[in-house]
Amino acid sequence: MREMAGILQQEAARLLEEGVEVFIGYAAGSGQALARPFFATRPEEAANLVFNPFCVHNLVKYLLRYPDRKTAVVVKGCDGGAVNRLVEERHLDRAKITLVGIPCSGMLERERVLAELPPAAKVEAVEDRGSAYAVYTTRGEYLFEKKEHLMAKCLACVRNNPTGVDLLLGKEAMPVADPERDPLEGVRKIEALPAAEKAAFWDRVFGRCIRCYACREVCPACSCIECAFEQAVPGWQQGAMWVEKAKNLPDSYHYHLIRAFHVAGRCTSCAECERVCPVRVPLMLLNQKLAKEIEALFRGAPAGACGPLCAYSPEDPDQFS
Amino acid sequence: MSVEENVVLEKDAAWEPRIVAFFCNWCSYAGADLAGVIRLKYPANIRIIRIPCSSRVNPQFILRAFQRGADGVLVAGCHPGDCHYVTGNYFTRRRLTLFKRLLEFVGFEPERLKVRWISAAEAGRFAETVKEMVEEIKYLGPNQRVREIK
Repeated sequence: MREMAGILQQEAARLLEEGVEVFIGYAAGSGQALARPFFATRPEEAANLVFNPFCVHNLVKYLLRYPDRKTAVVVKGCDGGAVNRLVEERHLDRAKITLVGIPCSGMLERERVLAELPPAAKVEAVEDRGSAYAVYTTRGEYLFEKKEHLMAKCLACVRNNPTGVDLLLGKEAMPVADPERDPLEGVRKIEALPAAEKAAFWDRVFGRCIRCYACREVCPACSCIECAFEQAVPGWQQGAMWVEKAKNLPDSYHYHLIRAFHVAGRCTSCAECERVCPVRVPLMLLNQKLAKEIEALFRGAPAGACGPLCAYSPEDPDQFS
Repeated sequence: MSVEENVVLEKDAAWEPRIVAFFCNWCSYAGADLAGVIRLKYPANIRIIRIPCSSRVNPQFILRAFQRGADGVLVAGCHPGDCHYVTGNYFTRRRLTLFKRLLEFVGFEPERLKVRWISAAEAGRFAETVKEMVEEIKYLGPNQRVREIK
């Protein structure tokens, strides 16, 4: 991990000297076992960049802040798809972006790490030992088995090495996915329930949603300039709203189903929505369910620039006649 | 009809389902019109909303109908290949096939949302569809999913 930071800093400084205006990467966060997005604009700032298994964020959405500038961004395998998404939808100009890919052997779930680290231990370095991460802290060394401490999405990940990037740093990462594990296990469990139990499950889950819209803000596929859940005309001259501001269950259903449906076929399964959710709504269940159905229904059929729902084929399955 | 009235009605044995229907202007709406002209009998539980094309149906319309007290939603359009706008209903087909599966995933009974292709000549099919749907929903009872209680 140390040498990776070295290579990253060197490359970032070079890119910034060669005319990149903003380099978006990770820096050490303020808390324990935390990283934060970092925006370097001068070559000397590149010395702050790091890469470790706490760099969970998908930085791609930040590119939307700089659509007219020359940018470079650090992407992991799971983040890369989001760039193609935004380029295909003409939010970004691919020629202005340098993608710096970093092979990733899984990101640690912060809560599970914090549960084992003493509060005063400050993380100094992390070493990848294949099946585990060794975390060196001011209070000694801790070993985190990947099978138990990685984020759920990493345990099913087959995109450890980013593709379609301009620059690939470091050595190729070995896959960490558990082949025995079914990535759609959660979805299948719910599918097997009778309607009343499904309803009870989702009532409970959506009932705790506080509609903070963090899942929308962080999502690289949620990139509309005007959102269906905002007022088109703010202020007293209010237009009709699809959902009320107040928290209530029917509107939470409305929001979540439409959010999931809106990103159907465009979701790149970076699972950022689930990570940022303050009340742990399992949003990836909805996204995975839609991806699964799309695969089953429209596999191999034409897909538009914004996914399979922007296209059609006369041969599509028809259950309505 | 006020909300209190609804509550009373639902407790009543004579509860009647309410079905919101989105019909495309060019085929299904004309088909329903024909059913009236040739005096076909069909249940009066259906409230038809005319739309330019079945692809005009935003999934939000469907959810909003359920939120505001619909017990079932029926979407109808031209047969695939017959769309007045050439390709509209092909998009509807993809979109609503997927959306129906999403609704079922969160616990809606599959009978609550129905999509049918009804041409301007198929008055009989229209009447049959409404009859069938009303029967199914009577069996299921009033919809409670996502319904707003105010």
